[in-house]
This record gives sequence, C-alpha cells and structure tokens, in this order.
Amino acid sequence: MPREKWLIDPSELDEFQRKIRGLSINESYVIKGCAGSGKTLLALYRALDIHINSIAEDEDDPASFTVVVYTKALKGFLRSGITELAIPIHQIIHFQKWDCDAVDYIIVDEAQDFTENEIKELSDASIKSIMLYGDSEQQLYKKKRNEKTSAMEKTLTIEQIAAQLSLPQFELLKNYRLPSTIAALAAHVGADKALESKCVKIGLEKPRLKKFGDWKKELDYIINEIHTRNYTDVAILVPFADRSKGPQNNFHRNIQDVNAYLDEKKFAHEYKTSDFGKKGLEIDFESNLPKLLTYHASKGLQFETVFIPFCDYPGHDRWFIDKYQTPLYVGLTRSYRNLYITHSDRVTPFFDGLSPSKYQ
Amino acid sequence: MAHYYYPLSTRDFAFENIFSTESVSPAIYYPKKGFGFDYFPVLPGVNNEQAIILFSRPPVYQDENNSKFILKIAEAAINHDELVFLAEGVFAYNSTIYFEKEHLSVLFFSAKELRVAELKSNMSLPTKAAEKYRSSFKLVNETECQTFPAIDASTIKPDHELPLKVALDKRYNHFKGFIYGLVIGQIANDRKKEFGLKVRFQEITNAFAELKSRLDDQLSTKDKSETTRRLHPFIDKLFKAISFAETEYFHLTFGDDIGEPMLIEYLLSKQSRLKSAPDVTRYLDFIITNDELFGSSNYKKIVDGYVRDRTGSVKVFQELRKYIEQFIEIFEVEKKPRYSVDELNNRIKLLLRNATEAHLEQLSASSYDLRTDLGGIAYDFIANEVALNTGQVYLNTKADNEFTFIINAILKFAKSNKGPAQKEMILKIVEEIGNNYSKRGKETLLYQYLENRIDVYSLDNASNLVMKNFVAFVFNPDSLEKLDNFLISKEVEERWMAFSFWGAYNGFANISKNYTRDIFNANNSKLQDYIDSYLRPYILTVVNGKPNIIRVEEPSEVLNQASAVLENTPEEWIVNFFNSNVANQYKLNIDEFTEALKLTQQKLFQDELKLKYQVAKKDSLKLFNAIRKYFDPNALFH
Repeated sequence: MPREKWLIDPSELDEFQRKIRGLSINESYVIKGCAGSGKTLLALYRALDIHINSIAEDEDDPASFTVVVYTKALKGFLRSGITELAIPIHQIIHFQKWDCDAVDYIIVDEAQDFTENEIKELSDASIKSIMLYGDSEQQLYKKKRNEKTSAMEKTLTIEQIAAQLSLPQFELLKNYRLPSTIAALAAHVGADKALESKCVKIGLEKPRLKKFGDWKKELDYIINEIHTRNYTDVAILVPFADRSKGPQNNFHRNIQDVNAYLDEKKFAHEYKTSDFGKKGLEIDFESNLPKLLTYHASKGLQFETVFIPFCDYPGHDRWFIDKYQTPLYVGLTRSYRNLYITHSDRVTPFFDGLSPSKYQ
Repeated sequence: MAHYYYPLSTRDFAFENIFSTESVSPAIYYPKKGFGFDYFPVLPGVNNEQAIILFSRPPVYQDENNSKFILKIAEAAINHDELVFLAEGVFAYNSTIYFEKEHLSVLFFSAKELRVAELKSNMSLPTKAAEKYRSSFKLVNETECQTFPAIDASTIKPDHELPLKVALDKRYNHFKGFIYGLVIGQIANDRKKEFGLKVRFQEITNAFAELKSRLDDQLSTKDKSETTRRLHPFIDKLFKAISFAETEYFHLTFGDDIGEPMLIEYLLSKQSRLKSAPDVTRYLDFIITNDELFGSSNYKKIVDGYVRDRTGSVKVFQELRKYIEQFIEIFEVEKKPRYSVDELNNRIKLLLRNATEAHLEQLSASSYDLRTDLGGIAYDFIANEVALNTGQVYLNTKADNEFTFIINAILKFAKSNKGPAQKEMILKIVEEIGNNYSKRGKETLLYQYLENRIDVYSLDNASNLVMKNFVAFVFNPDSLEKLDNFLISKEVEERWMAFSFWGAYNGFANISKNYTRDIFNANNSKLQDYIDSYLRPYILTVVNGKPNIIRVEEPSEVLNQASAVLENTPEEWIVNFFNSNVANQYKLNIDEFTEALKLTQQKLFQDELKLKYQVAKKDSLKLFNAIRKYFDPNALFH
C-alpha cells in the first residue's frame, strides 16, 4: 500500500482538477500550471491511469509508456511516487538517458525546460498520445544546449509548445499546495503579491516566527520540535552550501556547518550540498528523515514542515537582500502545512513592515 | 427479494465516493454533509439532484466518457416511506442508502471496466470498502437493460427533512468512525510486533538515505582514511538496521526465544573445533563472561549469525546486503561496477518496498479476533454521546471515564470542514479536557504549547495513558499514518485509544484505506460481520427512526446563529435579566453571562455552566428555562 502522501484524496479535488483527471488517456494535451498547482502529481497519476488501463486490457502485453523529466530532483521525487504506486520503475527516465524509442504514451514534466527540437522528438516518438506539463514562469533558460546534438537551441514556453504541436492547452490557475496562511507571509517577501488569493488551502495555523539566543539554540529548537511532533516530512533550509559561499558574515548559515552540528547532536538527517550529485545520487524521498537543503535546492520540492533558521540581520545584509529575495521566497513556499522561521538577532529586513497578524 | 437499480458512472469519482462511506445519498446532500466528498455527479436523464432515482430494472443510459455501473439494491435496504412514485418502475428516494453486504451488488458492463474501477479506487485514500463488496461486483449486459420514460424533474419536490437527515448522516459517520478507530487501533495494538517489521524496513531506508548523503559528499575528500573514518558509523548503522529487521523477522517467523539448544546445534555445524554440546556450553559461557567484562558483543554476533543462517532462505536480507556492499564499493573503490549507482539504488528500493508489501499482505490475510465486546458501547443520537460499560475497554473505571469523556468532547467538536483540522476546534477539545481534568483548567501546558506560548512540550507531561493517547491525537488530527508513526515512535501503549479519538473526530468517511485493509480482507469476514451486526440498529435508527436532533446543531453553527440574534437584542434586556436573575445567585459576571446566552442548546448550556462556573445542573436548567421565557424563544432558540 502506498503511503498516504502518494494516494490521492479525490474528496479534496475541485471541479477543475477533476476535469483534468477525467481527460482520456488517448487525448494529447498540454497542461500549464503555476507553482504548487500539483501538475507533477497529475503527471504521476496520468502514468498510473495508463498503467491501470493497460494491465486491465491485457496484463501480459501492457502498452508501453515513458515519463520523461528534465531535473534530477524531480526524477527522485517522481521515482519515489512511482515505486509506491507500483508502476514499473524503469518507465521514468531522465531526458539525457531517453533513447528516443517510440512508445504508446509519453508524459513530459517540466516541458518548459526542453528545446524546440527535443519537444518535436518526444512528440514524434509517441504513438497514441503525449501529455506535457509545465510552467513558462519557471523556465530556467531561454536557450540551451540540445542534450543529444550539443547545438544551442531555443526553449519554448508552454503556450508555444501547445501551438507547435497543435494541442489543446489547459491551465491550472490555483495553488493547491500552499496554505493561504503561509502565502500571506511569503507574498511579503516575493514579487507575487497576489499569491494568497491563488491559494485554495486555508491552512491549519499561521507560520511561527521565533527568536532564540544564538544559532545553535535555533537548531536545538528545530531538533526538539521535530522530535516532539515526530515530523517525518521535513526540510531545513539554509542559504548556502558551504562556508566558502556568500560573504564572511554568513558563517554557520550553510549546509556544512549545520550538518556538522546536527551530526554532533546525533540527529539523523539527510543533506545535499551544491557538490552533491557526482554519482547521480539525489535526495531520498522514501526516507522520512529531515532533509537539510539550500533554498536553491528546494525548488520544485514540497514538504509537510519547513524550518528556515537564521533569518536575521546582519546575516541578511544589503548583499543578501539583493541576491536572496527569490531563493528565500522559494524556501518559504515549499511547505504544504507548517512553516517555522527562526532568528537569533534582529529579524530579517525582508520582514520589515510585515503585519504581526501574518505570523504567530 | 425485489431489487432497485441506481444507474451511475465513474464520472467525478462516484465509485470512490460511495465506497468511502459505504453509502450513497441524493446528490444535494454532498455539499451539505461536511464530511467526505462534497460533490456527486448527476447523469442527465437518469439521475436527479434532489433524490436518488431508483428503477425496477437496469435502465438504458449513456455516459460516453466514463464507465457505467449500476447499484443493485435489495428492497430490505430501503425505507419505503421515503419512496415516491414517479412513473411505472421509476421512484425517487429521499434518503441515504446504507450498504450491507447482503443487500448490494455492483453491476459493470465489461470485465475491463470493472477491473479499471477497482484498480483506480485502490489509489484513492478514503475508498476503503470496495474490497469488502468485491464478491458482489458482477457483470451486466446492455441487452438486460430496459428503457424507462424520461424523468420529469418538476415532480421531485425538495425534501423538507433534508437538514435532519444530513445531520443524522453526519452523527452516524462520526460514531462509526469511533467504532472503526477502536477496532483498527486494537488491531494495531495487538499486532504491534508484526507491524514493527514495517518500521524496521523504514529504518533501513532511513539509514540508507543517511549514508547516501555522506557517500557522495565524501567524494570530494582526498584523504581516504579520513573518509572511511567519517563514513564508518553510517555504514555500521545501516547494517545494524538490516540485522535488526532480520532478527525481528526471525522472531515473527520462528518464534520468540533463541535458546541454547538452538545455538548448540548451530555452532556444532559451523565450528569444527567444538565437538560436543558441553563444549559449546562452555564456549558460550566464556563468550558471555568476556562480553560482561570487556563490553564486547560477541554473544549477540553469534545470535545474529544463527538468525542469518536460519533466515538464509529469505532472499531479501541476503540481497540487501549484497547490493548495499556493491553500492558502497562504487564509492570506495575506483573500479567499474557491475551495476550503475542508479540501478543499484532502484534494486534496493524495490527490495524494501516489495518486502514491506509482502509482509503487510501476509498480515492482512490472517484473521483477527476483536477483544472488545462492542455490545458494551452505546450511542445516543440526541445527546451525541457514547456510554461504555465499566471495564469495557480493559481499563479501570477512572480511565474508562476519562476515555469516554474525551470521546464525547471530540464528538461534540467533530470535524466538519474540508482539508486540515481547524486549530480552533482542536483547541476547544483541549480546553474542554483541561477544564475537566487539569488543576490548571484550560491553561494546560499542552494548550499553551499549541498556542505557541511555550517552546517545549514533553509527552511525559501527560498524566496517564489516556492523556498520552489524547496528546498523540491532538498532534496528529489529520493523518492516521502520522498518528500511527507518532505512537510507535513514542512507544505509547494502548494505542487503540488514540485511534478511537481520531476516528471520532474525522469520521468513517475520512479513514484511510491503509488502515482498514485488515478488516475488509476476505479472510476477516467474521470480524466484518460482527461490526456490521453491531452497527445495523444504528443504521435503522438513522433510516427509519430519524430521532429529532435538528436542534442539536454543531456548536460552531449554534454560536454563529445565536450571536447574530444577540446582536439584535437590546442590551438593556440582557442587563435587566442579569440583574434580577443571575447577579448574586451565580458566579457569572455580565460578560460571561452574555457569552453563555449564545449556547442555545440546553445540554451545552448546562455543561458550560457546570464546567466553567460550577453551577449545579438543576440550577442551570432553572436558569435556562428562565432565559427561554424572558427572551423571544423564536428568535434565540430554534
């Protein structure tokens, strides 16, 4: 039985989500969805629908399908879901390893990160249908090197992909992941001031903002809170991978130092630095250990509980404010339930003017 | 036996919906219920928003983009007073139909559609009861379907009893949730050793993840001996986790004790220098003494070796070790590996998943005898309270009373919203329990911690097992899986109590299928039948008796309505009444009295005055009646 986080709860779906879930597997289409709209889970469940229909038709000769992804973190996340939903694991492929073989169905996630020719190749390889999911707003590059030919090519927006392949486009406008209580605070930091109005979930409680005597006490509190509540889907997000990154006053605000402190406290956890991945290993989503990540590395991921320590001045100085507004915003919007922000000096200037009604 | 036919389709998760509650209601109920799905599809031509349209034969109908299926319902499941004749062989039914195994069949139009519906519903979190009715899923041919006249929707009138029926469905859902919570909890409690193996497999996954983090990171370290030193604790932890799981597996498979006779046989076959049983006994004594003197763990190593030897036929542990060793080698030794890191990672993950799944399948397949006589539990629909016979659930009288009090407080503030639990309602429950059982009253440490006024809370603060289970529920009101993990991690005993609290709060509709599969497995039909026969009288009460509970609305709704009325009541009326009837007689000030006025149910009013102001029930009843007389009863009371 899959763990609860991988099972859908149809009672929580709204009319529009149901409409998209109800599309036939033989229809080709493009889904555009904002951050938190759940498009990756929709892609996963599309794969499941194909798998189910296929084995119900002929268990001995199931239809062929491939899920193609662009980022390794996403592959790790989807692989975990695919394992739990008992879909054959080899059917999720990183684009670099895709062999261009024709299959009945192709599902593409983060379609905005593929080049025009890559999209064409994917489309040509699908025999029955192709479903593409993505968000133009989250496009990383306007141009990039074709993974197969090494030539520089332009990438396409979701709208352009739909037009190029002459496919219908559906758009998910709401954020189903982020509780509005967290969005209200995150919107103060980020550029999207309408974020709260896009959120469907009300949220159990407001984000917690807590002050401690020093950075170690912040981490002690985090350790204790994880133990007390027995949180099992947690991220601890910090700005830097190691001490060499960022200005000097960012000592301890990095994976390296926090990892050393957590190890010293014998606090089991996983971590990922910017140097991580030499052998292609990714965060393990089947484990229920807290994951220590940089803001950047958390992009595209979601956790039940997110802790963001060290949110204080002078760490958040002018340089930091200029460079880290978007990464911090990414971190603040990773939680689908609880958000804790801690500091041990004057609270970050990012929160200047923040109404006390937005946190507890 | 005559049957009625209700045509449906898989549109909008109708199949998942009905088997999340074991019932089907008129579509208009769903957005009003406050539990489960808040929508239900209406197929043009054969369905209606206001009522369930029943046919005397399978009808001809279409739904091109979805799979059709028909509920075949025995007339014994129907209250004939609710049937309204529409046309020859067509009826409107104005009530919820509760399923029972002998009264329901589900008819599909092809084997493939049946299979797809089943497989899809397997991935729906709340859809638990499909397995129970599996043997009633049948095929029907289009040629068996009959054409009926089109329904004239104008002839179907809105049901004036709808609020009462929805309120009864809701109460039944939470009461049933409590009963299922109790049963699920007892299974979890009594099989904690067996379920423990699942936890051991999770620990292997965790230890593997922890090691992987370090392995890749350590590649950048040039000093190999330093790398080995740093990695050693994590490698050690992983192999210990495997040994631990293996030992637990051994105990579950071969029994609890690993005694000397087993070790003698094992060591005689493994160590040629040991020639006889006395040799082995002396050798073991020597090992034990050495372990005691020098803190070594050689005896445990022998036991582990024995376990490994016996479980040798169980490939999962052998293969896990093999793949993990290969995995580590890739990082430690610069040689071309047989499998890629990705491939090994996949193999390890699949081994763990399949082993966990196989173990849980095996568990579900074994029958379970419930140790509680459900007959000792009674539910009063009007009071919305359960009563337990003393000693019913294996506790002492004090604990039984605490348990019952908590269940009733939870039923009073049960969940009635989509999404996560509302913090205010959880706080209300905590407040109610604190007021009744803590010297601090509402201001318990738990309350302060939840209110974010203190940073630290320990489960040790809970005074006894009932309260520990209560705290577990309060920390995990939304997910049974999280509650279960919490209880295991904190080693809370008698965890059926926390499961009962969760079930009462969330109701049956929200219970995850992962926790009912032991009950709904075909091998546990005796237990299913027992629960069904216990619940049957309550279903009959809901369907036929319809006790008038409409005045006893949800506390939050009552508060909102009463507040609105109070706003229009001249303040001097309240002050006058207070001065002549309350001041100097009860320990309430004017503000507290105004708050109490919002409680328009007699019982809530009495409970509140008893808890907060120590007003005896007979006095509060007198006051309640006086208020009713003085204020406009049509406005304030309804």
